[in-house]
Amino acid sequence: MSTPSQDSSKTFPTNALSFRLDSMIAFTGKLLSWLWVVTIVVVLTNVFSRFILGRGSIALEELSWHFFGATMIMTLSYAIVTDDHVRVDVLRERFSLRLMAWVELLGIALLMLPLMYFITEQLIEYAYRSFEQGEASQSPSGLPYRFILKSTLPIGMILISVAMVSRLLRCTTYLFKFPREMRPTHPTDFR
Amino acid sequence: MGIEELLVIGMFASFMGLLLLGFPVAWSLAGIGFLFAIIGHVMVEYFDANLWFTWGGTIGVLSQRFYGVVANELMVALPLFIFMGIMLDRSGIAERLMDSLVRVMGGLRGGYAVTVVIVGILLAASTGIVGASVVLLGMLSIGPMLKANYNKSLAVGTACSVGTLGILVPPSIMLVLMADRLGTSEASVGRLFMGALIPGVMLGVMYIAFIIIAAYLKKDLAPAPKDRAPLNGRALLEVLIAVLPPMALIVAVLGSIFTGFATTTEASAVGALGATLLALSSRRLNFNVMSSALYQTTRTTAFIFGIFIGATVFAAVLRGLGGDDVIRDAVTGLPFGTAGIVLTILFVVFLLGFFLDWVEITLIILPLVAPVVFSLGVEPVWFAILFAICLQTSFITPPVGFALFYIKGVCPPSIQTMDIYKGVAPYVLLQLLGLMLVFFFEPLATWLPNLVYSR
Repeated sequence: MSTPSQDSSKTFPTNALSFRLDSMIAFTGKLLSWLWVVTIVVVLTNVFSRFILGRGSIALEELSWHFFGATMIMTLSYAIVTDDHVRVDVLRERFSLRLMAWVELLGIALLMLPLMYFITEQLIEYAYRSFEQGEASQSPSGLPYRFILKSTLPIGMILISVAMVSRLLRCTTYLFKFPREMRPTHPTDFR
Repeated sequence: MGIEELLVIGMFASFMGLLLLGFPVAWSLAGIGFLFAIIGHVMVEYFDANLWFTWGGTIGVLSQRFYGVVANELMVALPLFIFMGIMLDRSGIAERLMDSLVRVMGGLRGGYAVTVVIVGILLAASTGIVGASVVLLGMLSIGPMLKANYNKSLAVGTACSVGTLGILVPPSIMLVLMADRLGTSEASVGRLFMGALIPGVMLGVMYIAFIIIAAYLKKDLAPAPKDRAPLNGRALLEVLIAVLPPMALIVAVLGSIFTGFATTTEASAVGALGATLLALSSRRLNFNVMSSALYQTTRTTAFIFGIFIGATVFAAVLRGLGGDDVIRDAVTGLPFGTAGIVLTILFVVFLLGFFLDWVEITLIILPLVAPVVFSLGVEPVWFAILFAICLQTSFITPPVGFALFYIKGVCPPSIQTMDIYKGVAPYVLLQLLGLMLVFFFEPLATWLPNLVYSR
């Protein structure tokens, strides 16, 4: 079975830096969540104009998936901070917190951060190329400035990397008492 | 065994290993993909391995692949359907439906359980995340059923099984994701929605028939209440008032897709608006409800797309290492006919459903096997619906089905794990019967989509 983990007794202690980073990412994620309302309004406006005014707008249609894509990619980090991951818990339930911290620490340091580095570098170049070429929608009445949407990809990846670093530091706080543990001023589930 | 086969098996095995260590699914996918890209690169560059692998063709194309996930018009429907489900949940519609329907049906033997099935199907428009609808139904119905002296197992088993129907009955976000991964117009979202409608309702009807027959045969299983308010016109009117809004919403969303009046994305926005209005009309909407619904939408969307992005890395590297060919050869090399191959795949999916969620299975396994199966001439909609029913069945199959753990979380302590197992057992049989019916009578899944789209 895999579930988003909810057992609060099995979380790593936080430290001053992780707490700040987590708060920052949770705040960004919550703020961006309101873009779903904008997405709904954009889609509804398009439906409205198609059925009342007789024609839909390609620009509005493109705008709806621009909003979706940007919101989605930039809020992935929020789910890391709230630990809304799907994990397979069959064995993990029996692990000590120590073993969990080691798995998380090594996994993030050896696999995830190097990968994020490669991907982010590539995505920055990808967005920059789009900017240089002045890439726009392929349909004549579509949206210009495709680089804006493409820039949200590296931003999203950087936010994910920050969330991973914060998580890594929480593991080292637990394992090596570095950075020093801190009693958080408000709940750390960031929901 | 060639080097490709070894690498592909190694990739899946180490993915499973990392998963069992409790590493997040999305990260495991991306991490293992990355690790094997390095292994492939080193083998080609430094050991002259006889392998058609390039770094640039796998890790190097990830930016386009990621952009493809972001710039995806179809996927806009996903967060909006999720939001609709969460909003419906907060609007208190479920409670009112339950209360009013019980007044009409409660007098029958087994009436309460039948109500649970009906409410469950109506609410199947809910989040589509297995856990959410199972938990919601469990909280709503187990207590009252036990109070009405229902058999413990029947009460729990019903709530648990009906909850999983939500991933099958449209508008289900699983079907949206499946349509995207199948990537053929023969299995578009609209077609899958319509294909799932008859099997979904059929399963619900089978559940109801089972409850009524069982309650009739065994009198103490689901007794009729002794002191119930008499059924009068007023009660019937209240049922109508309670049933009408969610019905209208379902008709608006599904109807606009089925008639071609709106795209799936537009229908999802209409549904999101409708659910918000329902919450508003029952005076449940305020800033806190709205913001927490939006935050939850974000987290649910993020957990699905996190896996989507991870699976993108995994799939790019798997393909780069020749994984697609390995899988194709393995599937077509099975010593069965087409039907046997489909059954084998379904069996594997059934097993995988024990410890992976539908998100992972849909994103990793479906795109690997679907093209192979389609090339054998299998009807795409039929295969997708079988795949969906099969996943749903495995979620309620003891000992490790997903929904069982969720329902355990909301059960009163007097209910043992064994009670849950006993309770879902008949439903597992019904599911398998339903699966067989769709397997042998293909039109159950294909008739409606063909009818609507042949125009």
